[in-house]
Amino acid sequence: MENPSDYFDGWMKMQQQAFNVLREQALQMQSFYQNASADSDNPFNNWSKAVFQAFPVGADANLAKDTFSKTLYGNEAMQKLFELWQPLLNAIRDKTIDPASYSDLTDPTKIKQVVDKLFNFDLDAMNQLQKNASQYADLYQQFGKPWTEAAKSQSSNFMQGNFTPSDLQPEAWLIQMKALYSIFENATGKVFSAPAVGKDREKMELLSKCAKAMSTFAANNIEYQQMMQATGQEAMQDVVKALAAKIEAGEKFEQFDEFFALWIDTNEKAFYKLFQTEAFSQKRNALTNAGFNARKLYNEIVERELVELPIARRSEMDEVYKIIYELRKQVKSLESTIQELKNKDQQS
Amino acid sequence: MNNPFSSFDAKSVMKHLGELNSKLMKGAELLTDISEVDVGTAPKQLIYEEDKLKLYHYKPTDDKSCGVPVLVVYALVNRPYMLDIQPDRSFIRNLLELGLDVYIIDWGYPTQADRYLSMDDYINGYMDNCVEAVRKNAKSDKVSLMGVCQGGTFSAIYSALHPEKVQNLITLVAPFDFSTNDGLLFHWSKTMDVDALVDAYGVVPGNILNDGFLMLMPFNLNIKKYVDMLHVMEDKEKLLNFLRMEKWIFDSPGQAGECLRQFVKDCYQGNKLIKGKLKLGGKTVDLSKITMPILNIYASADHLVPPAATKPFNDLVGTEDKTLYEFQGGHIGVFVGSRSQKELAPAISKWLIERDAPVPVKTTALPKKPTAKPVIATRPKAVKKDNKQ
Repeated sequence: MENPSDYFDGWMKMQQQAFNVLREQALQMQSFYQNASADSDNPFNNWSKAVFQAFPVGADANLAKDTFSKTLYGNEAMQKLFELWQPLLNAIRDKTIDPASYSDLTDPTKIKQVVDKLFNFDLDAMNQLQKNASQYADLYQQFGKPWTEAAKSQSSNFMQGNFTPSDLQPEAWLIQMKALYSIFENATGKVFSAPAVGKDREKMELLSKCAKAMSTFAANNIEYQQMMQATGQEAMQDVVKALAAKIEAGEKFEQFDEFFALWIDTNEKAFYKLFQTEAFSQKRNALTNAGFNARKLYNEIVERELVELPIARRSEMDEVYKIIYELRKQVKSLESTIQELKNKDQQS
Repeated sequence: MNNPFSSFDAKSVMKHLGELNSKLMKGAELLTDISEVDVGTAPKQLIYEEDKLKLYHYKPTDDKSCGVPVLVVYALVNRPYMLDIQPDRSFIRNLLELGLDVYIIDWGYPTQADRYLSMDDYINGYMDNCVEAVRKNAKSDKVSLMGVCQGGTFSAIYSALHPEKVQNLITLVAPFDFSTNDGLLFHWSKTMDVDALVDAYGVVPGNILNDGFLMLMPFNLNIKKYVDMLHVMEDKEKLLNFLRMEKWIFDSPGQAGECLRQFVKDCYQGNKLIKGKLKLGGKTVDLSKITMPILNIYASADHLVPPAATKPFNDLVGTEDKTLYEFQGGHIGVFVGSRSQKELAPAISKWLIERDAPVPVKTTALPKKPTAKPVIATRPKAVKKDNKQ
């Protein structure tokens, strides 16, 4: 960029075009609503009635201006901004809104004045900003590229119908999800395990750990549910087969209970078979362990947040419980000794 | 192809569904009449309490046929009133009517303050104190232990560590050999991260374990049971019994974390009891020290504690007087099934009476005038060596 004015000229042109379109649309809209029957309770009337009533009729424009600028730290640029929009605001308040109110908003000189005041752009700063943005974009692309590309490729395949029937099985979806998650973990997901720095380092690390633990739980849960769902599907197919066999044999269910018993037994057997497998045992434990781990980390976060409050935290109470436990044992032991001595005394 | 639903006799099915609907309406009306679901109604007296634990003495019948008191040790995971769930199906009432003098430990509901209780505290602490309290109350030198499920494992451990105080040992559906994968709990527990569980909760909520139990037969325990309920809903007594069982199933106390940690690690994962490597209070639990008569009862269709986990116990104990008893039924059927009432309680009573050798009372170890008041929590003095069997 050789000259900042080139940038603003282009920007202004775009803005002007945008406002022109807006003005055109407003004219058309107004025309549409104005031509509607006066008796009809049209939405425009309702809306404008509600909005305009919210404006204080007869309020001092200067007061509004003053308040607005003060609200925004009294910045001179904000006053300029207000002045720019004032005709429109006045028009709304006075119920005299017309497309001409937009004219100032499309005045490039006025807008540039405001933007200059607001941002105080200079050429070097703009160049630096552009450079930084470009570097960031490169970095981000490098960082998230494998993940986004895999996602893109997957969705593209799906949209183009490049899949076989087996791709539509829950297992296939799960494998794809796992692959995506794994790529995410090695790309953008690295953020969650990167060491934090600064004052809140430990807190940030704990939050990251907890987020990761929760995502691990969620991933395990999906796999677990998939196992259950696939087994349920198989069981249902078995039920249908049993029904078909009954039809072929010319038999009928006399009572609902008979069908229900078949459904229950078939499902129970199918799930028992699943539960007996090593794979299920491992998945179930992976799920519960992930849940326990997430809960433990969440408790730690809660503890950190409660530290400023005058209430006993869980870990502090645990210390108290431990002390009570040890004291109880001591007291019981002492009582026992006393009892022994008493017994000896009675015997003698 | 025929419509799969043509396998239904539509007329009959609709009639049946209509009948179910009527039962449901009647049952809903009955449900509103039931304000209390009473369980554990056999008369009993509190004779000892310590922390959350309570020790009860059931009111004996007039004709006591067995001199040695029976102390029932229930599992930590469920409530002991299962043994006295309804007046007409009460294992406890049966034992009383058969002339036994019965005591029962109610472990109570642990709170976070109990998270550090260990197996040692439960067995060498609470259980031992209860045995002492029973000995004092019954004026008997020894007690017969009747351990149920996990309580059976605890009773076996106690008997190995304190054989001098145990006259007979009865274990009901109790696990000893944890190497089996027959039961799903045994299978799942092998790779469970119990440290993560205990660290996350301290006192592990009962419903976490209960959810595991319900998953063992998900369709029967979560669906069929409630559909079957429709068939009994119009009968108030049957409905009440269903509600009693329902109350028991979901009345699951939390588990003291350290005790659960050790039980899972040493038993389910390490199988240390069978291997002779389990340590409690600095002592190794040696099952060959179990020299009193044992009656080991298992249920042939037990889905919680499979026979493979129970039966090997008899091969490891030091006594020659050992009986392995197979009950035809499931884990819960042992206590509430109709066969249990007719068959099991009389068998236990008979077995005990046959072994009810009079035990001399060591008055030196007992207070001169036993107090009727609850005993204050004390760890009893060590029993002399000459008391050993």
